[in-house]
Amino acid sequence: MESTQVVIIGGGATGAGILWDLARRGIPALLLEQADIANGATGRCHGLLHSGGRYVVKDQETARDCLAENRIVKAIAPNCVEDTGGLFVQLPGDDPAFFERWWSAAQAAGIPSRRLSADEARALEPNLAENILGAFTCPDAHVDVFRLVLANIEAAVSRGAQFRSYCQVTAIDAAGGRVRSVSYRNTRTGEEHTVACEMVVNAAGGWAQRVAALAQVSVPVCCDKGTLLVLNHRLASRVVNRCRVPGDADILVPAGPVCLLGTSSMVVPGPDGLTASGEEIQSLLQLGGLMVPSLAEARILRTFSGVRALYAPPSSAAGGRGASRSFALLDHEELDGVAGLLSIVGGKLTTYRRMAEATVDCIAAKLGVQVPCATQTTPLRPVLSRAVRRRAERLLARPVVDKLECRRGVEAASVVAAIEAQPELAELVCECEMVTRAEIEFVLGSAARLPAETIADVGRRTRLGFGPCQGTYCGYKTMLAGYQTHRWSSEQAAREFTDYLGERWKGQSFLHEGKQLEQLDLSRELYGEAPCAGAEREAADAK
Amino acid sequence: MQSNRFDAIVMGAGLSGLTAAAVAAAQSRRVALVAIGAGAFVLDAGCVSANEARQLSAQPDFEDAIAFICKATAAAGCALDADLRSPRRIPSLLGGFEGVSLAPRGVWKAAYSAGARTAIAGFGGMSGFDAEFLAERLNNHARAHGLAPVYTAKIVALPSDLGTPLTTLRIANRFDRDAGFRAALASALREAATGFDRVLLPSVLGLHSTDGQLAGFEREVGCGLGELATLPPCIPGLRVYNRLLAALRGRGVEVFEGYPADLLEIADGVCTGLRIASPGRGLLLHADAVVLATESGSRALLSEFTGSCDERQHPLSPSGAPIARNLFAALLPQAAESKPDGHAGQILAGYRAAVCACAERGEYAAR
Amino acid sequence: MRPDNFAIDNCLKCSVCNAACPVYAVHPQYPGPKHLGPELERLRLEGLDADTGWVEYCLGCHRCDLACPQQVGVSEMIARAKARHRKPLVRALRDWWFARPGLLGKLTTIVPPVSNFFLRLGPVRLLMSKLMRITRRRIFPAYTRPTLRTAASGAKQRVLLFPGCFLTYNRPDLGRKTVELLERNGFAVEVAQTGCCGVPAIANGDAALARGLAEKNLAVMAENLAAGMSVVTACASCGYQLKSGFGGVLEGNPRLEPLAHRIGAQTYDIAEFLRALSDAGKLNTGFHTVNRQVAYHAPCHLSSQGIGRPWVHLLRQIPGVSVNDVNAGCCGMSGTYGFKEEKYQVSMGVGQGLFESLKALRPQQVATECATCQMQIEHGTGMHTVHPIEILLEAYKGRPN
Repeated sequence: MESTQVVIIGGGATGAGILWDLARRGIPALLLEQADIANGATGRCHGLLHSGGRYVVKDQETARDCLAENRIVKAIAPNCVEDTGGLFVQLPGDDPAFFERWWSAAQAAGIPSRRLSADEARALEPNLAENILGAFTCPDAHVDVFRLVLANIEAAVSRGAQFRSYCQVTAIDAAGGRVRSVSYRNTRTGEEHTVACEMVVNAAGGWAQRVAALAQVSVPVCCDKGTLLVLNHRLASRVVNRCRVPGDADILVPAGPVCLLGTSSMVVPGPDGLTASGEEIQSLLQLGGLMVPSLAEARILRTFSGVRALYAPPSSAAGGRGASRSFALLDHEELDGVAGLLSIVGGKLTTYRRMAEATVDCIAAKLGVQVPCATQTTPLRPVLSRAVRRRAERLLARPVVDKLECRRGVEAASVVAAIEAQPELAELVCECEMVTRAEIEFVLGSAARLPAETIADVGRRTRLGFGPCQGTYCGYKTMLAGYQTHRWSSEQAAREFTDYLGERWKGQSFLHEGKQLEQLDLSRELYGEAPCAGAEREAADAK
Repeated sequence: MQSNRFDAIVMGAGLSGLTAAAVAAAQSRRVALVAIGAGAFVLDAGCVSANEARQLSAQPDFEDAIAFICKATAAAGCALDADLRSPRRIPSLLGGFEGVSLAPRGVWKAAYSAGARTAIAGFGGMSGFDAEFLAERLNNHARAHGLAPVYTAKIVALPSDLGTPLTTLRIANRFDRDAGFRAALASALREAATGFDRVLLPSVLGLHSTDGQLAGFEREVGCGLGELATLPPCIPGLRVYNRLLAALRGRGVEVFEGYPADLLEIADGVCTGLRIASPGRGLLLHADAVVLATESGSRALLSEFTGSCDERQHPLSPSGAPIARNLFAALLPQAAESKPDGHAGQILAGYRAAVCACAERGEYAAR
Repeated sequence: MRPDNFAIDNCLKCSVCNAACPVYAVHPQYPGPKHLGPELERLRLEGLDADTGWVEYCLGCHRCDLACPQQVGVSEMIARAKARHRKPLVRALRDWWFARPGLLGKLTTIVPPVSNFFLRLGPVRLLMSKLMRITRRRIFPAYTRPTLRTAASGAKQRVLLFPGCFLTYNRPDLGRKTVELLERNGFAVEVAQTGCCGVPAIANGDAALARGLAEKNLAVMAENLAAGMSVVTACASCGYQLKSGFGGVLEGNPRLEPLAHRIGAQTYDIAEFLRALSDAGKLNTGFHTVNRQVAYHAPCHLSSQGIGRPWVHLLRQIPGVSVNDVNAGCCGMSGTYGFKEEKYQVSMGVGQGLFESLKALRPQQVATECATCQMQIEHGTGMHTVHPIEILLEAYKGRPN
């Protein structure tokens, strides 16, 4: 039986942050994730690195935490962060008193902000509605959620930590009031394993209750669903917030070449089987259009939904937006007499590191490790050497090199070496996001610290398929790359691709009109109506 | 003769539009073709699935329409081949077999043939095509259906200056322009074909080649050749498109390329004109009959269009009356079972619309 | 075509533009319009430095636009990328001159015989090739004194002739012939004192210059435009530029944008103008017989005007003339493009199909209304090429010009 000291369950930002902090402090750990990185709330949010502006009126403490972490994440993970800055815009019809309260609260919390007139705001963001009354600036930013989770896990793996994707936890052995081992199943191979451990951290977000039940404890979480839209190009170069009590569709976040609009809020029974309804989407567009009217004409690439897992102990009555956004670290030794089990729930993407710090402080205390937290000052990855960058610039255009460096960090050296050996690998397989063949082969290969298992995994590691074609062309080429590098047999490759397409199509399935529907139709024409039918389509009486 | 007056204007140069224009031109009508894009030809060559062909087989003029377009494309030098009774198994992008009843000749010739040892030629360095992948998948599918697995992949070396990145389009362009390259490719394929009865290759055999030229190329290679589907742009489809357009031009069809129509003038139940949205002023054309053969364009032009036509292919207003006596739409009546925008449906719809338009005896353009 | 950011939303990545692009067909490394247009534009909107030297290789022929089923407006995106592109010094200096044929024309026509002499001289061309990367395989067209002026007008209906640089500084005789054609059809012609239309400026990446030229030209023509006068051009590129609102360089200018649209609505290519007369039954059809087989090459900037082939209709009305609409692709010259050393091979490669078609046809005469198409056809085939105006005038006069 394999063994380690700490098993973390859940590969979102929190789990990844914990793995890194443990590795940094020299504590051996294994992170188990039932799907791929950021499968839960982390991978289904705006990717907004809050300045705290959204909480400053109601919850100064959270706002201050956000601001502090905002600065830290920018410092430790600059490759993951687009420091776009943000605006809080005042719309006619919104409460003017709230606007003033925001300003004084922001000052009190120390959020750097300037007051702008409507004209000044529109000079910065020409797509803002004509009738806005004014705006405040703030240091909001966009963080690429997949890159952030990847950076944490890769940094941890470099220091000896372990990560397994597609491994679902099936049992937690806590007989006798003490955690002993965790059993898990590889969902792709069916293999079952058990790992002995001293501590288990339940960082499973929306699935936290399900994981807790495996150890016969309870972690009540309220699942609050939010739906977002991805738009084909950047309608704003800054984060645009609506300056009012948080509500639906009041955030627009630029994210690479696209932008995200969200979100909605409704309580749902669990984190699985989420769908976005047509009404939700219409509502998002209509409300978002109050801030940025050109949303009505913009091309929607896809929609997705995720749940915020909010800690909802029986004492709190309100779910949804009313529930606290701050996090809760549950020590089940104290609460339930199960030693070695911790659950960390709630919180925000922006404060993931702080949550990890609190968790690992607790773990360290229990394990008798004296090392203090250093993640607030340790960069997640070393800078790519200038020599490698120069070699890359000889082979690839500058924007491609920039993106390669942001995505792969020092691993870019392997990608560059591959291109030097085989120049045709410089071809951009994903032209929308500038991903070379070499990078795709690297990410699929065993040299990567977190190799991709599926085409969607490749997407999360490179943004392949995130653009207008939604994988129609690049997904096919990635399938072939996986086959050519002997990662997949031909049958497995074809299955991977049809699964991938099915998932991509699902995100576009609500569309009734517009350019994306034409793109989707094009994709369906190429590969066949239903995702799995492409290879099997055949006339029954063909001779 | 007035340059802006025609017997018929066909709007759209996809499968339905080109079929319609060919029908009108064959009846010696003076035709204007408003072309904004090649439609299905770019994607998958306009192949007709056997399922769709079967669904439409009950339609009385379906066979005529298919026969017509096959003849017209053959006369244009780049035939669409069809067999409505015995569909062929054509290799798909994912290495499966699709039942196909109509396809460009090069694609048609790639159909599964039990007795033929088939080499699949692959070119190193192409990210969008893998011969070994296809060979394996096709053989697996063949076995799964109780057929003989006849495919073997062969990598063919090409000259290194074909372009970066190497795409089917770059090779096709070179094929069109460079006789020396054609000879080199033929000899490379000949070598790969040793021991095989035929060779399949990704479609790279030029955007402007004629069937005659390709037959000559095939003779140089020394065995049967077939073309395989690749990611867009679809080379065989564009070849049919280019040659058919050239043939139509040769028959006097005036082609207006690049700008959609943005206005239909309709008065007293008669369509008196169509305006092309050219830069500046636009261009007003008049015709005795106007055939709408674009997917989205019709809806944009006719605000009251319900989306259905009567049996004379007149688009109908909500009251059920034709919007105009001389306006025709290449759409199948809603009663037809197949989805109206499948390729077989497009050919049939274009054919019908043009036949009805040519039967229209009114001289509206003279007004 | 949608001029705003949303045009990139129309792109479905079908690559038909790449299939239509003449440069993609001949240059193995040219990335193609799909990449240089909508893809780079999307990256630029993301804030990345997406500049690349490949944008210089775009011919500006607009064939990508005509082939695009989604109206993405690819060529305009590439033109904007050209304007942002930073060139190395030698090319920047050379292209500075090439962007200003008006200025070049003014200087060379101070003493035209001297200029022409030097421009043809072998050593001078060698020097231009070494220092300025101007290919010495071509010879600049001859310059002459600008003598095209408005003749005395009567009470007839007036049209405004936008002469453009070629008619002003190289072929004022052609300008006079254009005037004569219109006069023979009952019009009085005023020659606008305008400058360069701005197409070379856009092609060479100088958007600011193009804007300045557009403003000046509009100012000169404002009064006549307001009076509803039609504007006639004899150069397809000038015609396209005027019809497209000066290539969109005045967008966002509240004062001039409406005026630019008006000029688009009032501009006619000379053949388009005469064809409209013919359709209304008002064309002077007093043609003598001209027994000739003419091969007509439609310039790309005529095709992108979307008006069909008016010269084919007009020439076919001349008894004895048979017209073959060659339709063999772009000639490859694209104005100043073919003069550039580094682009010469591409230019000749692009035109190869046209040269071969013409040689196979062996017509008695080749006709095209674009000055640089004429130069390229003569350079590539040796066949003497005329503006179709000459043929029409010959038919009116009954004798060669």
